[in-house]
Amino acid sequence: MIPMEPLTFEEFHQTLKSALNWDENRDLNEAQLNAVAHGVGLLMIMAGPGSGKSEVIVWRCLKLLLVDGVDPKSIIVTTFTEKAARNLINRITNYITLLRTYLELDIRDVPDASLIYIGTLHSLCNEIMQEYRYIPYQNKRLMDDFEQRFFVYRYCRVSNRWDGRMRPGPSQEFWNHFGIRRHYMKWDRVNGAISILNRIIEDNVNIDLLEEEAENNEIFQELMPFYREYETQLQENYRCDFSHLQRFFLDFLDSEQGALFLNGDNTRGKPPIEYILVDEYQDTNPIQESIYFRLAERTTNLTIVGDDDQAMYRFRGASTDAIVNFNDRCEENLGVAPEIFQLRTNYRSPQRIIDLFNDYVLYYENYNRPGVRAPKERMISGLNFENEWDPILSIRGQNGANLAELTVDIIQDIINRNYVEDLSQIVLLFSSTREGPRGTGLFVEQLNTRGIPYFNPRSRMVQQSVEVQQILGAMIEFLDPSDEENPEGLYVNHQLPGMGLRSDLLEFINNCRAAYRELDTAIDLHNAIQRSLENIRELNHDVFVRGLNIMNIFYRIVNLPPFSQYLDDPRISPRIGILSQLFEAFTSTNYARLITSSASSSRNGFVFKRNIIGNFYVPFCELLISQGINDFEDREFPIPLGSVQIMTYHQAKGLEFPFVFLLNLTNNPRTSSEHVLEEVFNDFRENPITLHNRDERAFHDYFRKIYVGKSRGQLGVILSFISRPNISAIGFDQDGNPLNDIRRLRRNFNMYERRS
Amino acid sequence: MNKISDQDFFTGVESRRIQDPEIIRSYGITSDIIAYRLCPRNYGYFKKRNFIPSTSGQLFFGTIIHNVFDQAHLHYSGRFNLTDLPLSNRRRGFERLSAREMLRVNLENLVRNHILEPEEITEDFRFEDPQVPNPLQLGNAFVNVENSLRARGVLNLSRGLRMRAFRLTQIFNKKLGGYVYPKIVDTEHTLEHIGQTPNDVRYLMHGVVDLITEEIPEPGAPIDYADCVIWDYKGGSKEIVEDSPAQTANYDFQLQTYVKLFQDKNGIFPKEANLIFVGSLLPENEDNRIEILNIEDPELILERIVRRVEFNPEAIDQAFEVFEETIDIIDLEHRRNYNEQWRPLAPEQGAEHPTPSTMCQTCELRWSCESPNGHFSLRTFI
Repeated sequence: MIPMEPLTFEEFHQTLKSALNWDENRDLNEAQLNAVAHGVGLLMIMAGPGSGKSEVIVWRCLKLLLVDGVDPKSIIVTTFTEKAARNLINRITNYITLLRTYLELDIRDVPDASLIYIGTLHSLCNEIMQEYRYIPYQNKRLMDDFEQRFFVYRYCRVSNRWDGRMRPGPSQEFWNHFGIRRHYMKWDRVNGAISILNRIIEDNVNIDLLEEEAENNEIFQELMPFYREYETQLQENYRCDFSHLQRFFLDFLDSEQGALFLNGDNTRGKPPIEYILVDEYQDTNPIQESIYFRLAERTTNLTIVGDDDQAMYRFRGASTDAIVNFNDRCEENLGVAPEIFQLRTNYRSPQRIIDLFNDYVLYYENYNRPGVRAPKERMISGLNFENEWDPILSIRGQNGANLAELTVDIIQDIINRNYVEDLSQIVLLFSSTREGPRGTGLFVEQLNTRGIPYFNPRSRMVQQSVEVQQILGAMIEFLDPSDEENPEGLYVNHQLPGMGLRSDLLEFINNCRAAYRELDTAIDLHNAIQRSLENIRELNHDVFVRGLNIMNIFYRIVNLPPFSQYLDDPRISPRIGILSQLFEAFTSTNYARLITSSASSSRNGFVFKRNIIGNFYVPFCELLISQGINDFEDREFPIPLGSVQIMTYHQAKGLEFPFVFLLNLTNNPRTSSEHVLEEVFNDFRENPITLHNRDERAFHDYFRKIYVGKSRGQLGVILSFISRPNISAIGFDQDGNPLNDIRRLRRNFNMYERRS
Repeated sequence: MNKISDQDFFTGVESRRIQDPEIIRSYGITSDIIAYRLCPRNYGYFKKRNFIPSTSGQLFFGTIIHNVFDQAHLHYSGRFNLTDLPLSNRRRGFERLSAREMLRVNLENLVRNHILEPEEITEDFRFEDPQVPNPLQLGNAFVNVENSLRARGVLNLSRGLRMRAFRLTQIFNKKLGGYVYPKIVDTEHTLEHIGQTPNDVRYLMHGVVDLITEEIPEPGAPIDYADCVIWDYKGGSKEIVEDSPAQTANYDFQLQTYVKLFQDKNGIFPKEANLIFVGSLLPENEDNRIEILNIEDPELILERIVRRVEFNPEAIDQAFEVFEETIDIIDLEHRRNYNEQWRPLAPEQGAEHPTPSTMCQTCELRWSCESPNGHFSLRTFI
């Protein structure tokens, strides 16, 4: 076989253009080409919104393969989401295949791009440690968010009440110290504990220093046993969470197997790691930063792509320090400074929208200080339009209901005037998309009234849908049966002091039971449940029902009408799938605690009551209502046609829409536990950083969120607010005057309002 | 009051066309194509609609065997030390015995069943390189793999099935380990095919195979692909599979497709393509069982458990065509109405059911299936 000879950069550039069938006018711009052509060493690509960074990453990967002759197994590319990784893989495969066809080469003559390590950092850590059979990471179950909650709930004392008689949990001072405001319900403590535990790992905290501190500091004295218990439980139960996955990987890189991975393994034909490309670097956390520097230690061939103005994930441990001070970090860690390119041409929006978000960030002095924001030039539009129109509109409502009405007026009008081809070209961005009675709920109500379909997968409302409640109701009828003596099941009559259920949980259970009882098409199901209960009564009270866990019961129920018919219903079936995922996660942490056969025995009523409350109602149903469950999102078609999209600002990351409505512009920036935790652990980090005041950090976060929202718009951006918007949401006019004054707003933007 | 329709906004806007999302689907040869060919309904719900099964005996069985052999081979090659895997000596909750004590009980059971000799169960946990893992070390790998599968929600339902897997791994290791492990040259040989139209990539097809060689290779020597045998473990029994023409055909197509992709990648045909039916090491019939246990020559044992899949350019092209058609059909399924997608297969008149009955028996949706292989009634849950 004759492998392809390396091309010169110019040959590569022209050949790929021809293979892609790009005409003379289509090409990468100068900055993009420079970034692609960069040789060895550190490279930072500062890529503003809509600046074509994905295209640059694809071209750069191909350049490494075809010009530099780098082995595909020597390249690592990390993205922020699985979807972004898939898009990248698809595009690279597509381009290389077109190139091969154009050059009439055989498949064996071109490098096999499928061998490049492409994925999220998490997925790559997992894949690489499996490939190298890193012993400490063998045979682990990787837990997602929900499983981690079930796990902490089930195994860790940290989620217990402080005044519990058995195994008491942390004190009130403990929670206050870490900025966790809600800690009175067990599920709130679980969430709080997870933020703390994850943060210790993600901030790359030196545990020895923490231990030392614990000798003199009461809070840390409390913390360390909880931390150690969590680690022990993970180990003993063969689990790993996403933060620990990175910890394992960092340790792996220092192990013998890690050395084979980094430096190559001749005996198995594995080349060393040569090039690392990181996308969305602004959302990198300290342990990830350490991983990247460790990977690049030998070659310094690290390319990072990102934009600090679009950082949004502090709550997941990310810190903009990594990108803003990248120059210094490189000097400290690798002893060299990076070359920096800025992609400043925007191919998404007209200049007025670009000015809107440009001006927005430039006029805040506090935000433009060194160390807070990376220095960069203004963005310019790379698009040419035939017509001119005013792409910014503001809407002012008197109150929430009025704003919702006005907003949907505009949507209706955009549709009527045929400004969009499909409803999915319109998006409403909220801080939270949970459909409460005041926030998003008002907008949803308006859309419903006008018959405009919408898609809000993260509304956390799955548990409220009637079909889901019917299924849970059937399970409850089986697990906690009612009879003549106890028409509402055992739990109601046998409530003991201290064992009461939250009133909203009790209401939820009753609603589920009622939803099931109102089903008149469930005769077979009802009979099957009754027969099963009779069989249970005949069994020995003390034995377990072997092999029948909650999931088995769930699947038996959904196989009978009416649920078996729901399996083919596009609206309900995905929700049944989500229930199966939740039950699987739940069963995996509670598999030893199956339903006992004494289920409906009055003799063992008390035992049973404790079981159903402690094993199902509180650990499962209460989680559903306290967290809320999101709908299924199709990974292939995340934006379904025919519906207006309702999203959080975070969800909109990396997306673009012709018309973007920005909501919640009246809210103020809020300091929360993520800002406190960052401070608490900073002194114990392997690389402590200079932190600004926590209120300032909250302000900067808010700012970046709105920046991301504004920069999503391709044709129109609609600013929606009640009465007077928050100054930090709208920004300043060209002269630097704040725009939260209504008169000034009217002067600057086309404004739509209605006085009652 | 301002009326919105009186206001001038966005006038002159140049609307954007909806862009078709570029979708290049990626198909695993076993996880997608074979799975779909065996049962579209099971595939649709559990792979595409994201339902998660509670348990899967079949999955447990195949995965545990493959993972244990993988770790045993790595142990043999010195890249992994089975002794390093944690084995808890602590009793928890209701558990009568610790993991370590349990393992000992299981091994003693094998002695009673004449699978192991008493002297083979040593306390020796030491690692000598290279070496076929001893029963205790292999048992340790088994318990660890099992725990991780349990943690991943893949539980084994019956003690019988668990014990069967435990025995099979021990028999394989004892009878064939020393013969097979040294010849394994790659346990993750990735194969890929890019399906394309003149202007675009349409789909990716991929699989991973184990490769072994006829002769023990020199350490550090490059792999001689012409001497490689594609080696694919199956948990079932050779006799049972070969009794079913539909199943045999599926497995043969699978291996023939591997051969095509192997040839694309390495420019040469492999020496052989073999299915290893590990289940045949422990036949149902007691006499057959004893007979197999008494065979000492590994090659004679392999004779009984290996199916050599015939391949020639014609057969390969034909198998590959069948798989490409399957990809087209799966693509088509995606475009159907929701309630018409992923219908189960039904047997043609007088022919066998295309879905194996063992698969239906463990399917979570068997009771609501319109054409299952077997009769499943759900009058009561227990």
